[in-house]
Amino acid sequence: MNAKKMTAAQKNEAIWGIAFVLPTIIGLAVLNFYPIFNTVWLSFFKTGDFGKGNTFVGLSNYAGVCSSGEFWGSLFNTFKYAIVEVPLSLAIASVLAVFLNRKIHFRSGYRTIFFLPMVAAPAAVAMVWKWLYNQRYGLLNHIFGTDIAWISSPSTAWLAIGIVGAWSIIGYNMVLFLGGLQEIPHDYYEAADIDGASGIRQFFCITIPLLSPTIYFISQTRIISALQVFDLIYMMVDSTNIALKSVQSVVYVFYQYVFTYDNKGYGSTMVVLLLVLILLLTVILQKLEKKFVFYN
Amino acid sequence: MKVKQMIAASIAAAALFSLTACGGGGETGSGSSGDGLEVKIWDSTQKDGIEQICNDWSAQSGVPVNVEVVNWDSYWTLLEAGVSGGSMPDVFWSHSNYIQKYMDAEVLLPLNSYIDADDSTDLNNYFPDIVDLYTNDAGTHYAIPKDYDTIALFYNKKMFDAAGIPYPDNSWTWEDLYEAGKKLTTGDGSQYGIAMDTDLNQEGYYNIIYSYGGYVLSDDKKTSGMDDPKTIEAMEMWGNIIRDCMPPQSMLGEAGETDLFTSGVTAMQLTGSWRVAVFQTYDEASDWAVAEIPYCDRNGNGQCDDGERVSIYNGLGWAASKNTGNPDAAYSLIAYLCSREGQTRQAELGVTMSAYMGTSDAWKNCTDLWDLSPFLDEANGDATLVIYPHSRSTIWGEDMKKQLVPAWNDPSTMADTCRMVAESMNAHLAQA
Repeated sequence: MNAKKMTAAQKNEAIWGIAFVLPTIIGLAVLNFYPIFNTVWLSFFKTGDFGKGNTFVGLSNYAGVCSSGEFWGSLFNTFKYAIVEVPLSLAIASVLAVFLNRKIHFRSGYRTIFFLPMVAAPAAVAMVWKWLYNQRYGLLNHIFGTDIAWISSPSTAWLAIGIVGAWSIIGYNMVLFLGGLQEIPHDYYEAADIDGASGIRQFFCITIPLLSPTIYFISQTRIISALQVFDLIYMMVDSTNIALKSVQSVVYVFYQYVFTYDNKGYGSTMVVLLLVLILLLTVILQKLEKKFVFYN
Repeated sequence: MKVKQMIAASIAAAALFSLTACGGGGETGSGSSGDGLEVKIWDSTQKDGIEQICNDWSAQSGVPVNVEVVNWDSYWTLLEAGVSGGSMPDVFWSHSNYIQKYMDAEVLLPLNSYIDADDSTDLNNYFPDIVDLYTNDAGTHYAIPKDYDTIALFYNKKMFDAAGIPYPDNSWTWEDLYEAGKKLTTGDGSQYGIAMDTDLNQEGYYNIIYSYGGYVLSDDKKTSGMDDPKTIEAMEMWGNIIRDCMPPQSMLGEAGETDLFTSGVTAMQLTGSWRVAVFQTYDEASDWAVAEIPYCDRNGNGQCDDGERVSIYNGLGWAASKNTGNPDAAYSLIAYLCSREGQTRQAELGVTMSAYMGTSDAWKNCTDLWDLSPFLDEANGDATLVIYPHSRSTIWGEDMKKQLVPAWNDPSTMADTCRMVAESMNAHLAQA
């Protein structure tokens, strides 16, 4: 668009355009941008009670966070969670989407069922799974006849929580995949059929490449939100659980510092570092996009 | 290329949105509604009783009162948001963990002038430790004591009968608790003697520490007593109890102690008097009974001497917001809730024991399921009451709950863990 010369009609259009997006802009500014800058600002302070009497401490919060084993440990835990959740939810959702893209009976019924976990409140999901995993009374141990402390043993807890994370996001990923699948013209498959390509060959040579923008989009958004996992851990792992140290995520530790220990400056520093990390990761993923994503 | 741009834009938006999503929640502003008073408490089991007493006051004063319950964690977040945002409830509970911060920030209504002008309120009628909790160094009172609590031992009579063990009584030492707990633990995972997780400090390990002559926090609130030899001796005894009488930590961390006791998995439970109201609601309640908390026979003369039986106690206070629209009414409500009449009502209704000395006897009669006198006898000389260890910042207490978890998991590391706790506690205390 040429900004120098706008006709009256264009101007009018622009004004109305801005008017329509203004509520969103205000919402973003008040609820997102202001807190972001406030958080960054707080990370340079030792905060006083009730937001009064903050004292500037420069980078000492950063030095404290970077030299604390707790932060790096929680970062490691966060990545462990992401490594379970993202690939698992992606793989299962893509396969489900391919099946549910076919003409089968009760198709919309199945789609609804798989999407349901997305509709349930995360806290409720976490509570139900917490009981399923319960060592003494849980359904899982009851069915398998085992006596495993699923979420209270450092060796299994991270997996158990990652699985719940994947389970609750599969439906959403599936819907996005379905959208992507329906964009693929049917002609390609017909041509492939005529050339005698098998179903599996078609999946890898037509579906995957043409679906790559969707795959890329989902994996990137999922990685970003997996790195911010909080609610599942907060709800499922009690503070006296022995496995807590090996599952607490960065945001969980942030919450502890800000709301339990009342150390808002230190907590803010953690999320600022997480933000920087996620931004870096996003840049890397954007670079990788050129290599792996195929736009027709 | 359109798809690509759209994807890039939505990723950017998603990144921004999700990052700040956790910062946006939890803003439920509430101001005082109309001319009435807004009262906030955190214990839902006390709501009915408190509401009744407030209604009695409303009938006299003509000012409506709205009592709301917010659970413990949200309560303090909400109150803090209320201070920053200028919309605190008018009248609310205060707790030793947090009061200092609120007193220092001068956001509470100073009550001295009201108390001085009011002949019916005399702070000498209340437990002095609890009055002190809510008085700053300059002598300004910010809350009037509402209640106090003691710790006693709930036990399951059926399980004791089945194991052929005599019921706990006043003669029980911590060793007796250990021996009985060991016998009641079957070893196949179906039954245990007792369950007390690390987060039950007031009901659990703080008591044994003081009864062994140790301490958690020095009197000047500057140093930790967690590395005191007597504290460690007590904690090692507690470690024995954990090892031989308690469920493994993996189970403790998943199931609440109360659930384990009420469902007959554990036979004993050290219990604060504030839980009595909840315990009454269980179908199995008639199987249980109450005994005094065990003591430590430090001088070995076979009887409980002064200071050998300790119950940690604490008490809430009724405070008002400095910015309340109606300070006279707010004080009047507090004075009524804490008056001899209001405190007696509170005990009669079974809400809790009352901080007004001599009004709690009625509390004993709030239920005929159990004889509750051990709770009261402890306060009347059978035990030494030690006020809940607290300092300006509660961080060390919260930290301790977490730091002790590995020692619960492996009690042989108890002494080292206690020394480590002392170290980080001292660091916290030096900062505050």
